[in-house]
Amino acid sequence: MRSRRNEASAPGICILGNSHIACLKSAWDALGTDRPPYRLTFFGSPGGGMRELTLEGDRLVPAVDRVKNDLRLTSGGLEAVPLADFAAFLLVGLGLHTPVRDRRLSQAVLGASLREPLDVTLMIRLARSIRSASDVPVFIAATPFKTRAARRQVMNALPPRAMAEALTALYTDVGLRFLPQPEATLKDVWATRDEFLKDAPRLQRANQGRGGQFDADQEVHMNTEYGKIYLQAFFESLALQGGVG
Amino acid sequence: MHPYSTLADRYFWSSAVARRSMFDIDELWDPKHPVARTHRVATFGSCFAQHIGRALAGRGYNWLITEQAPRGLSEENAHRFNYGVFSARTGNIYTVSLLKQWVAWACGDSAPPKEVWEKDGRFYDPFRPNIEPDGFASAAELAASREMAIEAFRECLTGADVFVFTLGLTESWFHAQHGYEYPMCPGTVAGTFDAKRHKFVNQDYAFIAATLLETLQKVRALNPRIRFLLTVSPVPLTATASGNHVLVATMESKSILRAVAGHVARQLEYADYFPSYEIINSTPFRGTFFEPNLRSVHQAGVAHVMDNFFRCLGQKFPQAEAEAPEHSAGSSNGPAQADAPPVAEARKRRDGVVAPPDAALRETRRRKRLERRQLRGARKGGADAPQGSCSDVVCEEELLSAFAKK
Repeated sequence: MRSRRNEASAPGICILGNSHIACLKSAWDALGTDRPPYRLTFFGSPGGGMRELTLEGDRLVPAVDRVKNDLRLTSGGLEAVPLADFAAFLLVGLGLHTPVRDRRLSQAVLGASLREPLDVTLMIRLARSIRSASDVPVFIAATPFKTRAARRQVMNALPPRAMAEALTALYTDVGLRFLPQPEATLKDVWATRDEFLKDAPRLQRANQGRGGQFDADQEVHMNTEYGKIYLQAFFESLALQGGVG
Repeated sequence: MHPYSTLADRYFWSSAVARRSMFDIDELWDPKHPVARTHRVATFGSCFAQHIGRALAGRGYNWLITEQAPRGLSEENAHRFNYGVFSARTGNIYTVSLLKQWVAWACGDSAPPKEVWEKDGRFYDPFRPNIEPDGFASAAELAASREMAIEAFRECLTGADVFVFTLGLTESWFHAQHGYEYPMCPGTVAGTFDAKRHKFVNQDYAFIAATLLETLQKVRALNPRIRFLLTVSPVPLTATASGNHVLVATMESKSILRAVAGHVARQLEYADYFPSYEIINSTPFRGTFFEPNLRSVHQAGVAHVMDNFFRCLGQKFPQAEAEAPEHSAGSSNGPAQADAPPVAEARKRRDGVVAPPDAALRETRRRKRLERRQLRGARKGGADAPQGSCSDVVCEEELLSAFAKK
């Protein structure tokens, strides 16, 4: 199915995810006139809200009003995701955390250990839904690392960039591109730099008056500066893949 | 009066064997040392060793697995990729010289050879030919995987309290020039046989005994608290290159291995021998525990062997038997594969809580009754593999396409 684009507009990019899209949205807003020539549309619902999306034709439609309201608020008026309107997708967070595996595992073992558990995640299910209705690039962004490496680090672990490459290769059949967290945001391989926590924005939700910023003691949501770095890395990846538009 | 006058019943054939049902032949083993549920028990060796590890885990013992399946790998795939077969992914270690070779690699005394077998664009490890069902994508990938196995094997050597080794074969294949040993003849699973490079050696008693003594002493020097439990695989040879009839070759091979195991157990205070071989193979048991192919061991046989194992341990060391499991999941975890539940722990949970001694005795009796029923059914059922067969045991010899027609 080919994407439908308004020739007079910049190429549309859909950013879809949970609360972790908030820093990307705030970054995009902050870029102002420095924005690259894309038209970004954000669709967000905190937590597992995106589970309520189902594919109807070429649209992802929420089954519950709460999520419908979230989409309307974050997108600026749209209550469903019109897949054909976009030249690329970036799926963010959605419960996906960068897997940790020993780098010495064979490709076969690595793939088998990743594919089965990932296939049932919200992230991959949504990505497959999009892919079934669109052949444009689909990028996957895992949840950012915490600022403290919360999990027990594995010696000889496959670094995040290599893991992203491995996942991209694993999902060649679906045509997904996994993005590693930009190295500029890391203080070590598995932890985000502390300064990116400061003033992290919340995803605004309708009827709850929420927005604003996270409390100072949270350690998983990142701020506008993080969002700028991530968006820059995303645009570079998009260009490497041949761009859009 | 003479030395036999004061011996107990178990030392006389008539009272200990002839006048008993085969299932009531007991006190076969007088363990030297306890095996407590808190002891970390590593298992390696020939096919039969696989049963011991699973049985240990199934009864709440701490089967040490240092090369865990990575998180996310299904149980089916873990089995397919040979996780949870032995304590590390060494593949079958059929001979004591192979054990010595693995120990040398683990200790850094020698490096694994660079030889790789290539077949249809895939790469096979000559020392673990079946460890990955479709081989490796590259020689580098193969080497990295083997590095993990060696590291995990070393963890067993240094971390185990008990090291169970099942001696399997005397027949072996060596690289004629470089002297390293293959677990199976090149060209059978992969690789290419070259009569100039590959040498058959049917190891004799003196060589095996000396090699085993040397190897166990070396490991003991590395880990002064480790104890060894030796067994001999009752599984006959799939094929022999000795020039003798396979039945004759099997008996000679097993006899040598049995003699070595007994000798080493007498020589080393920290080594013991458990008679699983006798339980399966000796005449009072009438071949009852073999499948119709007279080679594979029926699950009922495995269960009977392990019943004897745990009963003899419990009778000699009741306090160790009664110990509650104190170890945490960490003791069965090998190299940190992020939050991967150990296979041994997972099995223990599925099998339920360890039963108290009275219930364990009732369970043993119930299992014996079930074994008898299964065996009677197996004999009536004919050549088809009956329920409870050990067909899921990874026995690399079975996979040799060269022998499929035999």
